[in-house]
Amino acid sequence: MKRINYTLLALMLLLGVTSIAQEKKIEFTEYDLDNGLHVILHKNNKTPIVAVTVMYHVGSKNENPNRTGFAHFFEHLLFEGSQNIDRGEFDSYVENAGGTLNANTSQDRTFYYELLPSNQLELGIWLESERMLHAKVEQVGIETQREVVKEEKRQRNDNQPYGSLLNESFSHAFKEHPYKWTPIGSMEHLDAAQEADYKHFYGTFYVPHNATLSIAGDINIEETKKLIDKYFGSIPRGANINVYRDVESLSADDFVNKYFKDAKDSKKEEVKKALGEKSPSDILKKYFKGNDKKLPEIPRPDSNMEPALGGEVRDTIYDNIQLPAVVMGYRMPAQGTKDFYAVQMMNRILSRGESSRFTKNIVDKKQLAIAALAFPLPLEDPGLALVLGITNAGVQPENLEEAMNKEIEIMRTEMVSDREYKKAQNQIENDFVYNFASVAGIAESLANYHVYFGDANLINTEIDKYMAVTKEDIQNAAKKYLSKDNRVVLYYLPKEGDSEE
Amino acid sequence: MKNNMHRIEKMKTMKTRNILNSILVMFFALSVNSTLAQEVDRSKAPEPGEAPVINIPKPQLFELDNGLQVIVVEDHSLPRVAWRLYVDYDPILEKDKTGILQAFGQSMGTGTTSKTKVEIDDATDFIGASINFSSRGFYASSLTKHQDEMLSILKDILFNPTFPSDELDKIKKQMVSNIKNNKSSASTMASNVRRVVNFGTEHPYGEVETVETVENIKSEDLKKFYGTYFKPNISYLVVVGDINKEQAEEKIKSMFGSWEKGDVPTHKYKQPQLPSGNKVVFVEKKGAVQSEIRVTFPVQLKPGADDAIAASVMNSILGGGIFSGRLMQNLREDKAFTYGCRSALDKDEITGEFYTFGSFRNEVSDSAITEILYEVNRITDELVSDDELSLTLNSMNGSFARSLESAQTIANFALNTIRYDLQEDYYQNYLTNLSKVTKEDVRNAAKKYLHPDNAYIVVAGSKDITDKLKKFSSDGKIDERDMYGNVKKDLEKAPEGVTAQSVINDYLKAYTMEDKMKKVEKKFKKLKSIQQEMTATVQGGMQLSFKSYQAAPNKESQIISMNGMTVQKQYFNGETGGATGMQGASELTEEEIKAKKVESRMDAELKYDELGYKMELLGVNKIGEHKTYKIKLTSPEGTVSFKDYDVDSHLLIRTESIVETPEGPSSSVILFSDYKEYDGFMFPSKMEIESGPQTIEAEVKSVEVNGKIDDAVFNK
Repeated sequence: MKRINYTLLALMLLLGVTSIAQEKKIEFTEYDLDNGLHVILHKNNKTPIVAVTVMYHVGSKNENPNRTGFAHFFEHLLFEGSQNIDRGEFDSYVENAGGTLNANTSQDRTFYYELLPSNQLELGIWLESERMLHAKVEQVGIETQREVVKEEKRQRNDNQPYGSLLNESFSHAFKEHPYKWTPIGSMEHLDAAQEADYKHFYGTFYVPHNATLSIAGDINIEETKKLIDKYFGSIPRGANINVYRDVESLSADDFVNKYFKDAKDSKKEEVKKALGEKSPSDILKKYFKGNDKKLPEIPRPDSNMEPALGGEVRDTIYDNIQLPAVVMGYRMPAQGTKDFYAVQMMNRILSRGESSRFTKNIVDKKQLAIAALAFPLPLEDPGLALVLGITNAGVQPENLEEAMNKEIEIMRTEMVSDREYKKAQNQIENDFVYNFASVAGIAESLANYHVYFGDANLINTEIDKYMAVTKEDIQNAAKKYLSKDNRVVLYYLPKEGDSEE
Repeated sequence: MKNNMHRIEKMKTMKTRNILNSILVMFFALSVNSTLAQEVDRSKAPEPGEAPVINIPKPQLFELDNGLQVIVVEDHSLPRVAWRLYVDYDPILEKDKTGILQAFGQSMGTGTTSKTKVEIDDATDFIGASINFSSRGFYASSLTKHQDEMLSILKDILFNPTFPSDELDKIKKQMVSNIKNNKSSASTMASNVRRVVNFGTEHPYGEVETVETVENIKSEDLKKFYGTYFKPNISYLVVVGDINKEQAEEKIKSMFGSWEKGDVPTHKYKQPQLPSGNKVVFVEKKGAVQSEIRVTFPVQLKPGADDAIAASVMNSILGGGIFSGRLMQNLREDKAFTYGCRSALDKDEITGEFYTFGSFRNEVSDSAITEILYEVNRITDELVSDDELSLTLNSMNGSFARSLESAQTIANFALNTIRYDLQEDYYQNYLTNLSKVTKEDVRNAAKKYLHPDNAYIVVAGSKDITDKLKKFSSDGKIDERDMYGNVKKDLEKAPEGVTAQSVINDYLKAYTMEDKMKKVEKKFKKLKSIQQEMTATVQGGMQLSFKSYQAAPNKESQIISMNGMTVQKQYFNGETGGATGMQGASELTEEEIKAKKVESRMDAELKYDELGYKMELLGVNKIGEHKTYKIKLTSPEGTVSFKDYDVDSHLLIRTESIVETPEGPSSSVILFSDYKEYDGFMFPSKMEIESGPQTIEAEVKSVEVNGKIDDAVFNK
């Protein structure tokens, strides 16, 4: 009796100390469908809306080096329609229902979402299941989206001051790993893409066992499970999903040639006849039984393929800008590692808020920059932390770099103060509360935590990992990662107005 | 292929195990049943369930004795609270101090009677709170447990501001930097110009801040503004989050109870007029690969007007929505001219405006305008379709419902209801009123508020496209503006008898201090070399030194150094040349050498005609206090530059060179002043080199004519 009480007390103390901010836990249910689709459900009846989201574990790092930009381009194409949804209807179904939708693609994953009135839950589930089962891409859609993506690149990268910053940092920092290109990729590659590329990409990555369905909002868990079973449960497993897609999209001759090439003529005729009469799932049942036992492995790049940078890399980029900028990229550990949390804390001390070291010393006191920032990019494989400053009018980038180097050196040689450390903790706590203000944000976070770490409950516990970072950890991380040998330094200079002209 | 083999192999094994198989089949059939067997009808979209009931929680309202009106919205779903103050004075003309309102907002929090900016920032960041002031009050939020600490910081900033001059100087400097930086933002240029043409510069909405207006702002101006306008009797305080009314009331009374009320001046403005026809207004963005295009005009539409909802529906069909708006469908989904094209119809208590916005690649900029005008016309002429109407009504219904997820929305509804004097149940009835909008209502709203024949077509982009824009202008003219929206004036005509050659000749006479061209020629013949040394101080006290060398017939070299270290050297020895320095070394190409051979001649100015230069007198220009003749000079290789010669002194006071880059033409400007005599020639002793946002001022330390120069400086 006594012993149990002590344990409980200790546990409560522990919880009280570590989970400071999570006064309200995010409750959720999760399970796998037979086809490998992971499902996460969170009920929140405050507002009569629901977020239906699917995260595919594919991003630009899964691309063929000759087809960069493909994952993002493909995301655009998957709004074009399906076997049951005509071109352009995807959007109008959602808008007609009073909802909104969009998607985005990162280096590591592609995320689709619909935000709907809660009585339209089934619509969202149907739409996403159609996208997963048998999206349809026509030539006219490909041509249109190709141009749209090019305009997106012009608007976001080419015509935007410092818009090439990510591309340049990553391409200078990585030689082997696919992080050397960014999701927007190469327009020449998109021009070169062939139908076989689309089929292959869809067949390899857009399969249930590479996806997470995360739904949050005003739902009834049991009813939602039934709807999911109806629309997603019926999506074939393993290799059969691609057979299903072929039953629908190939002609009978092509289908037989692909799957029954060596069979007897009589068999071929039988299959062709069946294709004309039976539904795709009946075809699977009759001819492809057992073909779905194994879940094909999803190809992923070796996360450690990139050798150490092995010395500082410096370059100058001439861009359509007015104020020169200094951009540093430090090679970083992957997200979720102990060191990454330490780097995150360090970044807050460097540049979060007016009282941060960069803002206080470089922007405010010395007036060398209009902005100076440090932010690690959370990536699945070891990535990059960017440290950048945009010079104040008349300041030479060399002077700004010197000031930034000085702050980094202090971070490496001196322990952060107790007050700064506590401040970073308070800021993290604040961020965690604010992240959970919308059902869409909760759905995405749950999916993220599952996809990257296999633990959706990190939504409630990740903060503990931040709180566990010590001042020593921060200094050690600075020593380990913020070294010159481990960084790329880029000077962004204006194209026009060479002063010697 | 692999797949196929795998399958055939499997079929073989199944044959040999017939009995086992039949059992397995049954088992499989069962397990398959649970997942595949329900043949789902996927061909049709599922029907929606019963529409959910939408409740708008009632905010709690009360007023303090000093007139401060308070709105409290409880929301305990997360442990956080947000406080917002809105000071509701009439819009203010900022005139020659435009930017003062922004500077005011940024200055609040840079010093109080007891705390410095550093102390305030540190206290705010320490609790992870965010506190932002604007010219109309503040928005601040924190976790519930840090609320009292946050309020005490807020109270100090709000009631004891000191507007320290040194902090204001920093803010002004940043504002100037931003203004200069916006030279590279086509969308900022387009929106500056849009506001100027729609409202005019005599209207608060049409004022654009410039470097000069920002420089004019003083600490006293901010104090005066604060003392005049920050009064409780015209203010609203909105508290949202994890707090109840009693707690809020207690905190508000202790914090704001002693805030003294006072009379606040009111302001009225003339209503802006529509242009008499369509007008093309162009602002150049050198190097643009896309044009920012706005089709725009002012609109008289107040929030809460009888047809305000119908007007919103109309705008949503035209250019709102996610992808379904007509502009998006036509210009993105159909034509692929753009990543996005939308429209906005701003309601405002004084004057609203309508504008379409999007950026389009250069080649299709004119086609894009044609399509935008087509769509604006179409919605005023034809009834929208049933499908479009129902889609838009559903979509607006949904977005209204979604917006309720944020307690801030509820607070905004309450604030708008009071500020715009809306009916008390305006938002409760919003969805019902929305559902009543008809196709006719939509067309009526379009007819009333859209003016496709009296529109400004604002384009920010590359000058290459201007010819193709003329056709959109009723008078065939293009109204060219600078980035602040100021009219670019045509130059005055030069007087009879003045030609490009006569201007150059006069300059040469002034430069050589001779009165006859014969003597000028003679002096040039004797001219063998010039060396100049200049220094410039840049930010942080760093000294740059420029040395320039020229030698007959066409050798030249420039060396820039810092602390005795060469930063860059450009050299040409008459045959070859290049550059070395911190940015690496490069050699001139054959074409560049060909051009250099001509451009570097010491007597080039004397022999423009002979060397194949084209000179064109553009007219009389004004630079600062100086009247000048502006000449366009095109080198034999096609390089264009503009030169301004003082009408009175005849000396060169400005050059602008245009350089072709892969992204289009780009310019560099040098201003010359304080001419002095050196060895019988007039040289400027001061130069201002404008390079992007930076202006480097250089001072001439020495000039030596016909001195000896080591030939090494003209070589690598």
